[in-house]
Amino acid sequence: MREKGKQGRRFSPQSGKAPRENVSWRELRKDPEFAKELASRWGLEAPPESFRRGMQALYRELPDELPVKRDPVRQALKGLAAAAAVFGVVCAGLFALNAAQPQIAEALPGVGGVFQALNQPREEPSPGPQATPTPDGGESQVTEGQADGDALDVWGEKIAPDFAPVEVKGEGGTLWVDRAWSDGVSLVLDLRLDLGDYGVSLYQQAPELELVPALCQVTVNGEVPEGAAGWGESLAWSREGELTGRLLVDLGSLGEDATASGERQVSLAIGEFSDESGTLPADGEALSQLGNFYSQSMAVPWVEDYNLSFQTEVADNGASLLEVSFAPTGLEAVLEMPFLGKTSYYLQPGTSLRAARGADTGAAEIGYEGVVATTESGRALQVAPYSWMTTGGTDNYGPYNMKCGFTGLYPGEDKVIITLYDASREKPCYDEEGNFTGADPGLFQVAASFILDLAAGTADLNWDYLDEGYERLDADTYPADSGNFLGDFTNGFYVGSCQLETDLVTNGGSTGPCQLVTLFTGDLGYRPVTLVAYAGEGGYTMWSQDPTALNSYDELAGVYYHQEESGEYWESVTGQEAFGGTYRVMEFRVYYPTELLDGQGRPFREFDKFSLLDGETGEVLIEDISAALAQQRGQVTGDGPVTGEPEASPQPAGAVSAGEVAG
Amino acid sequence: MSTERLVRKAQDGDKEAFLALVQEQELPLYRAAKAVLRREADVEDAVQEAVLRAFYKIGDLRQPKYFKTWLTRILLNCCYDVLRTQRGIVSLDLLPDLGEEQDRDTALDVRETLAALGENDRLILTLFYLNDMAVKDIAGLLQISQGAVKQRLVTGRRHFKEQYEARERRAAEP
Repeated sequence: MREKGKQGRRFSPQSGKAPRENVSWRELRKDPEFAKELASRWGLEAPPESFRRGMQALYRELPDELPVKRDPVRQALKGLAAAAAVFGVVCAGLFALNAAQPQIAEALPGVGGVFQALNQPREEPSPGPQATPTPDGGESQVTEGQADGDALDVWGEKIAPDFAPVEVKGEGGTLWVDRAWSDGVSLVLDLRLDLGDYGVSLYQQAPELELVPALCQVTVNGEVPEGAAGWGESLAWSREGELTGRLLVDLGSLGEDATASGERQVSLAIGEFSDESGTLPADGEALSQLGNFYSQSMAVPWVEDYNLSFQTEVADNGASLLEVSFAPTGLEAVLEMPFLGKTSYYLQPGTSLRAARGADTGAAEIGYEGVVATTESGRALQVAPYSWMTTGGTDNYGPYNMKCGFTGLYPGEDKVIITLYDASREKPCYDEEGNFTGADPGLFQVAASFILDLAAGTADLNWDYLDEGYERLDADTYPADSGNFLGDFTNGFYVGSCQLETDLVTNGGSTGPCQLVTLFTGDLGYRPVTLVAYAGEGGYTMWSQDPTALNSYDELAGVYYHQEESGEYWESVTGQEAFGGTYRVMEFRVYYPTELLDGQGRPFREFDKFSLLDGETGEVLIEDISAALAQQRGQVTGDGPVTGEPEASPQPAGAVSAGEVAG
Repeated sequence: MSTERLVRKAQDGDKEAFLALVQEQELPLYRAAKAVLRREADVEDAVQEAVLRAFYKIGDLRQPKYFKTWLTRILLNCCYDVLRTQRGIVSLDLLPDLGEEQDRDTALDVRETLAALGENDRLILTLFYLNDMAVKDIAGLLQISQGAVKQRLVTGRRHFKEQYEARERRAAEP
């Protein structure tokens, strides 16, 4: 733990300023000395006299008039400008007449027919098919004519209609494989677990029970599919005493068998089941005896006839659809996304100094996260578990590939629309289970939309979203103007973070418990501000510092900072362009005083409130920093207070007021 | 008068407007050309050729606000022409794809060229720090991603820092 009250060594460079190598490449642009140095180094201060003479000679030699092509349209329009002004006045008069006396307007020679057609009652066009993705509210949105059951049920019926249930011998119950089939990509096993009389009683005790197969192994023609961890639904009660569920096994390279369609010999072994729901009663000892299920080989239909894979070159707004693969168990799309920065580059709640400086963090790339696949009727497909991944780009600051898997297409559904929304962590369009929660046109923009024709094996750009009220985002300015990450500034300050930290490091050593308060401001000049931390009746103050006169140096971080008894002050300028400008990042690390720490050096209570004051006048700039942060979050997510001043947290009883402290 | 207005006047045939535009860009053009070429004579040739091409092609410029970037692109093409003529070595990375015919059949030795000339760092640093060009415009000019521009700014900055420190050490020696 740091030594409280330790003062850093005071820095006194010969020049009186911190060396330039500690500032960002972007900040150097504001340094005229640097530009001078660069120009001097490369002999670019001023061109030689011969250059100037040569240019003057060239100017003299140029023809007196540029040989530009006269744009006939532009010329005509210029000439018509005056005439158009007159024409406009006449038209306005005629329309006014039509409104007041339509029968007279309709009788005018030459233009009467125009007004007759204009004045005809119009039929409202019938609404076209709704292509806007609708949230999957847990209910099946199967279109008319499709069989009951989910998509894999229907495919299973189609591919393995004659599959006879296979009993899998084990202990504690009877396991059945009611249906098994494969499309060469995945193996689908519909399981049914009959727990007999115990199950009937268990059903009463634990109606929410969910069991997941554990220690599970599948073989296909005697081989174990690589990486086939299997996934699927938990087994849940279908009726008293009986649970059903589905196991999907990723076949990996085993699916690339050249013999394609036909049959395969599949065996299944499940060592035990685990309780996914946590609702198994304490005396559920019978479950511990449930397991050791081993099946004989069963002949499983293997049909790849519906599979399709094709490559495309459709692109919009920097995003390209590269490849599409379809099989009954899932649709996979590979997209190339442009590199628009990382989530750490932009102001958002929780952004700390290091991330804001553009440090190469493990933060995700910013892209068009809301990849949604829908059928032509607007039904959103489910996200296939563990199927989404990104590759490339992270180290090269270049485009990266994104692979997205979806399930839920029924036989005959050949058209799929893949739409890329400007969703983000703060503005998601999926819940944690991969259910599409909707994309309100008022909140989301569309980066690109592709329509796939799985029958023809083609893809094209889709523009229907424009008719549905969505705006197409501008990739050149996104995400700066997307509003994804920014809430309102309060008196010129944006709160990046206000949280208890225990793992911060300064000069290789732990800072100890401190409150990390990060503020952003567009004012890049030095302005003294005071941060006040309230705890009970006490207030602790910290002051921002002139960045050219910081008193400590962090060898590991390679930056100067300021340290005093109450905490540390770090400052930098955002390393990446954020929202059309750069921001000064002010990071206060307020040490927790001894009186707030327990015997183990941990805070037993947190600070009550933080306020920001003008360092010279004492004016309150932010009354309650935590409340301001909450308001910003609310503006981004659409929840919480979004108007007016941030709500101030209740003033602790007996606390010193901000004004008194500043005075 | 704003750049856009001057461009429009030039597009209407006003030579004075064109000269006003170009004279304002003389120093940035010189610096950009010098970052690619070495000899003064080559720099003068390339800049004059660029101005001449711009004189005859200004009617093709659809967005007057991008005049500076457009002119710089013409200049870089002229620089590459000079390089190609001299030694037949042109860096692939430096060749922008303008939709114009580019003769890529000449011998290309990218690594050698870059190692010898260090052009990428120097050109990008010049455009950014001395010619005050935005990252986005540089990326468009050189047909590389904005991330690549920033990466090179960081790299170039590091190289410069090393040289700067070396110079400081030499200056400090008795």
